[in-house]
Amino acid sequence: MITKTNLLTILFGACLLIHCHALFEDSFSIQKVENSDDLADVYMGADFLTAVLFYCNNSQSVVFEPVFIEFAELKKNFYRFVAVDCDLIQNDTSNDIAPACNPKYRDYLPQIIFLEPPQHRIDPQTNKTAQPKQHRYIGEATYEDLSDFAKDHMPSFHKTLVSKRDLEKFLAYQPNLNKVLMFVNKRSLPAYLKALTSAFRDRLSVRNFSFESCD
Amino acid sequence: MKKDDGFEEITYKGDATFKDLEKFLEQYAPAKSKEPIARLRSKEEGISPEEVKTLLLEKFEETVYGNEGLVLLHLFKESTFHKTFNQTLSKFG
Repeated sequence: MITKTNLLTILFGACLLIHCHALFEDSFSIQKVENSDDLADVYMGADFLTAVLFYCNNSQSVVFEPVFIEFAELKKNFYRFVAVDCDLIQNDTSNDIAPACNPKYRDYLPQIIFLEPPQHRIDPQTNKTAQPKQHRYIGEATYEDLSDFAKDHMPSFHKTLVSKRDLEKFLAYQPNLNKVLMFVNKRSLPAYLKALTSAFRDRLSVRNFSFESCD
Repeated sequence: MKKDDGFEEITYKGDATFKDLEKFLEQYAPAKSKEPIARLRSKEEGISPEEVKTLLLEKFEETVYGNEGLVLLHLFKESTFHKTFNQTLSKFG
């Protein structure tokens, strides 16, 4: 028979277990970020769509952990995944880069921001390093909804050829770079081809020839 | 086979998956090799006994993962150093 004292001991033990388990420690697909310098690198360095999860050690974050890990494990070829520990970042003096970690918003954690890398590394208007577009995820905490949202914001570093002249220009462009021509039956590339254009950005010049765009 | 315009045309005939295509394309656009993260020291330069750090639990990650060189961990009790550790230190130190 479980007495009241035993029950309290069990509950206390369960609470301790939850707090002792550091979130996202067990996933190799998720980069853990614990200071603002590393977070700044995440904002500036990605060629892939990057899902940045801001979390703290609250119960909602604990509940969300397996969903984010599942998302990362299943989509690790397509996107990059980062988990920002706000309990550590908020002590960092230069935390302007992580407003979601502001202690007054703690009750709203976890939050996910998707970073969409810019098409050009240098912004042609400002001549400065281009910033990623930020998309705040608003939706259900499910793998399916996260996956759909990410797919809508996935970048693709390619252009579509619509004429023979386009093809000739493409072949003459950057003669030292190997070129890839993809033949697809839709104007938009499927996700795995978009991910390839991210993976080989700067290494290959990619164009697609869409049968939909052909008269 | 090279064409008249100087291009060699290679057609991918594998499965339409990210991994297979990535492997195929790597042949033609290998990732740039990264610079070595730490300069290898010559035997003459060696390491000094002062560089041997006592590993504290709170400094574990910084000492082990934050180190750019090879890390030799030595677990010891009181002041009894393992013979192999002493030999390694005297060999490279």
